[in-house]
Amino acid sequence: MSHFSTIRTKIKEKPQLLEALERIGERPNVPFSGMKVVELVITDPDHAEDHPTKEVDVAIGVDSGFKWNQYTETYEFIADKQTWDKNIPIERFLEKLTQQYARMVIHSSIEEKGFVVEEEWEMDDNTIELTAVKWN
Amino acid sequence: MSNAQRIKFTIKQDGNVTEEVIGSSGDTCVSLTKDLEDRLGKLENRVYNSDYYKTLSTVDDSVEEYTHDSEGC
Repeated sequence: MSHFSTIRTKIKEKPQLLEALERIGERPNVPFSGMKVVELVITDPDHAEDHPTKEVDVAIGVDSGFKWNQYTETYEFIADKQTWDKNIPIERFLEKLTQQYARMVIHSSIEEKGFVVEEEWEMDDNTIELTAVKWN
Repeated sequence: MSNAQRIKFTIKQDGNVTEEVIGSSGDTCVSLTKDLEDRLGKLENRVYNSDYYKTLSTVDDSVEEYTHDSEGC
């Protein structure tokens, strides 16, 4: 008996987003209690005088972060390509983050349903295989 | 009788997920994973295997049971 489902992951939950960021080596800035957003200045070297400012709900460093979009009900990533100084492209950064985010949501969800992780492997092609089991 | 339910997840490099529920009968397997699918994102497709309508039969059962639930596995 089984079914087989395919799910497109969307970043919707802040606790798992924070955990996922830490798992890929980031130190997200968590706004303290009573402060809903942090100010973020994105500078364009060619137009530094403009200093457009964005508010984000989760900041990474001083020039990127995540902002909640109430219409799509997801956290959207905001960054400036010109000041991006990590050693991987933005697109790959988001993939790595989304993979760890999915993993954190799965762990949280299966534990709520009384399952335990039986096996968890990172494969050669960078996929993660995770088997959860519940004994009745 | 002891009976295990298993869910196998494959989390791809881009963060999208496939899941396979093994060992749940009737609509149990759908309800098991519905919450998770809602939390993760958007369900793209769900494929049921060939014994879609058949419930689990134990070793002692001589009669196979069938559900008529549209959410069977």
